[in-house]
Formats: sequence, structure tokens, C-alpha cells
Amino acid sequence: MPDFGFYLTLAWRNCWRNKKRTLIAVSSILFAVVLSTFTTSVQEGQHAQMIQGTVKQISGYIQVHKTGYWENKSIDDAMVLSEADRISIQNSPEVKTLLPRLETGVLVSKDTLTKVSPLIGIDPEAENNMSGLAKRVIAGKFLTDSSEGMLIAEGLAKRLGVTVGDTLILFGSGFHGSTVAAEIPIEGIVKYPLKQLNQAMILLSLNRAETLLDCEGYLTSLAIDLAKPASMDEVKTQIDTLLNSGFEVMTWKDLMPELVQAIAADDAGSYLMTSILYLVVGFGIFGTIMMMTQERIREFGILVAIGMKKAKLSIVVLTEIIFISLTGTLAGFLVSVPIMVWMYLFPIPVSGDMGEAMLNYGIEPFLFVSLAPFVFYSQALIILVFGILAAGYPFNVIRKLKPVEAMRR
Amino acid sequence: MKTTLSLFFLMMFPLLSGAQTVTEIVKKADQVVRGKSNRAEMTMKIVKPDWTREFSMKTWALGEDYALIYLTAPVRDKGTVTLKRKSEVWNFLPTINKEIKIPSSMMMQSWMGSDFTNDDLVKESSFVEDYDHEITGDSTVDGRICWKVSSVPKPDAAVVWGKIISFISKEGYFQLLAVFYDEDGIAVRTMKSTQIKNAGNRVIPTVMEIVPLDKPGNKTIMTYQSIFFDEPIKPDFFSQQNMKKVK
Repeated sequence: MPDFGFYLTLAWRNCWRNKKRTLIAVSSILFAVVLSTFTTSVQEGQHAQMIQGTVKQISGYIQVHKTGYWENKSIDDAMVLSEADRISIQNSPEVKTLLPRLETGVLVSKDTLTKVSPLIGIDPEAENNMSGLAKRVIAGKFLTDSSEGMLIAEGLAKRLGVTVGDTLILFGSGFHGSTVAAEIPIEGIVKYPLKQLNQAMILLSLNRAETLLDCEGYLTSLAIDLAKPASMDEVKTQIDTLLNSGFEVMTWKDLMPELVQAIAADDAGSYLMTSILYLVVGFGIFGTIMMMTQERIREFGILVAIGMKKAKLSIVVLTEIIFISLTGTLAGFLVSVPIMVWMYLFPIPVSGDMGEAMLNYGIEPFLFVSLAPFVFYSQALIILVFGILAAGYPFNVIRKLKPVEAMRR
Repeated sequence: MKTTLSLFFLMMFPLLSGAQTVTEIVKKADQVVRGKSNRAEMTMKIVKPDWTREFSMKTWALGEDYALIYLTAPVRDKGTVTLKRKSEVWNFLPTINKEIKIPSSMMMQSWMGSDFTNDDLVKESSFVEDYDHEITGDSTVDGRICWKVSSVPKPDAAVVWGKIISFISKEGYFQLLAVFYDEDGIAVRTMKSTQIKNAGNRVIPTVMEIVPLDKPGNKTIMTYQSIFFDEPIKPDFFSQQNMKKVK
């Protein structure tokens, strides 16, 4: 009984015997890997960008509120977060920035025009740290801790017909129904890529918002930016155990289920696309293997006629296919990595309606790709499996092989 | 003895004299704390489960139609004026130097975050007119013998309560306790008056406590520091112009 080396040697020689044939098979697998990696990488990149865009721009990865706040978003459910709690959250190694916020809705008016707008008291430095807010200021200047004025969204400024230096009247109700009524000057105008935010947003320094809303020492939420997004669930559990009861700790997935759904819906669409892609590349691989097999029927016939066992022959063919698939996958991997790295470093800009649509979603209009390792190995693995599955065809041919007929071909 | 007599009376003339007596009692109870006009200094303390706020204010009222409230504290709200003229309510906000008319859609919203609604400021006076009153028995509140009066809104009255049960003391006609029911017959708010004393020129309850029953831990306490009745005051004191001038 010959050992395993026998199969390896035979398969190896068979591969080199007809180099052109082997090359064709290898390249069909190579293209399959490159194509599916590219598709998946772009999808993943887009999703990551959607999440990043929203999370980094507004919500942060995790938010802490008083229990029940998120359901009604009423300022009456503002919380007092002790200095000790804040420090221990900050001390968690994965936590990058803490963003204390005091948020409510107000009426904002200029002369006879009145609009409704969210109003957020922020720690300007921390916000800038997470979202790069200062760069979005298109007129006037960014806030400081002691700013008395406000930043307003570009869309809101346009709708009210105001500019830096004008004074707006804010009116509404603050903490526990206290009256909010103040004239506040515009210090700067900020342009958000997210349309929804750009339509209406008023930002004040936290101190100013506290006096305006009559809730010194209170926060409606503490947003948290993470150094490593992957550690989100871990940090959430950590903060959950750290805080007393009476607080709710939510990740962006809890905060924005609609974003999770949008991604799920997009995923469903792309599953269809990927399935079609797999079908195409799968048949490509199958076709190549089928041709290889047909070509070699005479050879198989002679081998069986001179006493080669069909089972052994099948193992040799399988080994060949594994060689080819492995080589193809590895080559595909080597080709796709530099392409994806290149696209990651220099994303292709997207223009026209598509670009507009992306802007509305809060995504910068570029074709972003993902370099997440799983994109590469998952696709390589899937294609490898396809290659090996295609070995079913030569197996079947060998099983049914009649040497006499085969040799006549 | 008195009770037996009045009960006898009620039985004899259930429609005519009974209804008349009740209306008179209710009217009198209303008059005791309202007078022809009044001028008062008071504080209002709003209590929430983990938070309180206290306002100080001066108030003027003339009849059922006119009232003006001027906040003196806290500092952030100082100078805020609420004016009631007939069925309109106006706010003057000194921080933005503007008068704002409270639209009817905001009538049921809380006044200054208290357990009072804007509607309470306007409609309270119609308690006498808008309800059918009936004495349903005698009761004792804080050691005082009271009439228990059950009031249901008249069919065409635009009111928010389904029923009000009030306890009016036989001595002095003080409404010591009132329980407000919604349209489903569930008690939603109580108003209790205590600390009966002379804080100006008349003996009245000087502390009123409003407890919303559907919000545990919440209440609003109004305390009169002083109140003077029936001093001369003209209707044009209650004008929009005067909102900016009063002190």
C-alpha cells in the first residue's frame, strides 16, 4: 500500500505536466477570490462608514442616561453623574473621550419667523475631539467652555435668514417646566454633512446651557467615544457594573435601531448580489475543472486499463484540485490585498446623485473599503470550498468510467 | 340638631331650597378667599421626587376676570408677569422683553412647572357657575365640621374635571379639601387648605397644597405671606402695558 507521498507526487507531477491547463484553473480561482473580496470589502467599508459617520458625528459609541431618558428624551429626566463615576468611566483603558451633554428642544425665532430646533449644551473640546466639529464651522468661531453665544446649523441659519453676530430668541421650557427665554448671539455657523442635523441644531457651551435651562450640575446624557470600537460591548458591561442602578447604558445599536435596520436591509440586498457573484465564479471554476476532466478521460481510461484503482485515481485528482485551489486562493489573496490597501488609502470619490444620497446618509461621498481581516479570509475560504466541491465532477466521471470506451476518445 | 334640621329641610324641598343653599355655600366659599379684589404676597414651592423649586410672587386680582402675577424670585425668573384678562392669559418675559399670549393649546400645560395648569389660572373662577352642586353629607376635616359638596359639570360647560368633591367648613366657609376626578371617575388631584389665620385683613387658610395623585412624590405648596382684601383697584391695572411696569 503506497503512502500519502505517492498521491502527492503524482498530483504534483500532473499539475506540472500540463502547465497551461493548471494556470487556467489557478487563474479562474484567483479571479473568483479577487472579485468576491472586492465586493465584500466595499460593502463592509460602506457600512463601517455609515456607522462611523453617525456614531462619530452624533451619538458616540455608548451613552449613559438616567433610566428611562431615551424613551421620552425629556429634560426632566436629566441625571446627576458624580465626579467619582465620571472619573472611573474615564479611567477605563478603552474609553477615549467623555462627552457630557444637556439636550432639549426649543423654539428659536428671529422677528416673526419661528422654528423648532434641538439645543445641546456641549463640552466643545470633547466634541471636537470626537467629531472634528471645529473644522465644520464655516463662519464665525467655535465655542469655548465660557462661550455665551451659540453655534447654529447652516440650514437653520439659512431658514431664519441670520448670520454670525445676529441675536436669536430662544423660547421653551427647561428643567421641570422652568421658563426658557433668552436672547443669544450667534457666534458661529456650523455645516453638518448630515442633512437632518444641518436643518436644525443649536449648540451652546455646557455652562451656558445649564443656566439657560435651569439645571446646574445635570446632564441628559454622557456620550462615550472609544479608542477601539470592537471593545464596545465589553466597555458597556464594564460601565453597567460600575454605575449604581438608576442609569441606563446604551450602545449605538440600542440608540439607533434604525441604523442597524438600514444596514440589515442593505445586507439583504448585498446577499443577493454576492450570491449571484458566487454563482458566476462558482460556475467559472466548475467549468474549468469540467474541461480539465473531459480532456483527460482518455488518460484516465488508460490508467484504469493498466490496473490503476479508481479510488486511488480519484484521490490523485482531488489532490491536484486542492493544489490548484490553494495556489489560486493564495494568489488571489496576494493580488487583492494590495488593491484593497490602495483603495483604502486613496478612496475613489463618488459624484452625482449617488454622492448626494450618501451625503444624506451622513457618509462622505467616497468608495470606502474595509480592510477587516475577516473580509479576506472569509472570501478565500468560501472560494476554496467551491474549488474542492467542484472535484465532485471528476469523481463522478471516474466512477462511471469504462476504460474501453474512454480509450477510444 | 342643625344637621337634622337642614336634612329635614332638604327632604322637604329637594329641588328648590336644597340647590339654592348649596350654590350659596359654594359662592360664599369662593367669595371668602377672593373678595371683590385682593392683593397678596405669596410663595409657591414645587416639589418633585428628587428636586424642588421655590418662587416668590406678588399677585393682584379683581373679581373673576382679572388677575396679575409678578414673580420676585428666583433671580432667573424675576420680573416674569402672568396676566389674566377674561379668558386670555398673557406672559411677559423680561429676559426677551416680550409678551406672549398663551394659546388655548397650551392651557393644560403646567404653569411655571407647578402642578397648576394655565387653565387653572383662567377657569378656576367658573367653579361656581359651571357645575351643578349637591350636598352629599357632613364630614370632618382637620377637626372642622364641613359640608361635603359634590359638583358635576353642567352639560354644556367646557371644563376638564369629571367631578369635584369639596369639603367646605360650616364655620367660616373655607374650602378645606377638594378632590378632583377625571371623566373616568378616577381621583387625579387633591387640594388641601390649612393654616387658617389672619394674614392681612381677613382670616383665611393661608397654605394650599396641591397633590397630583397620578405622580407620586409631586406636589405644589402655595403659602400666603400676606393678603389684603377689597382694596380699590381698577381694571386697567390689568393691562398689557402694565405688565412691563409693575413691581
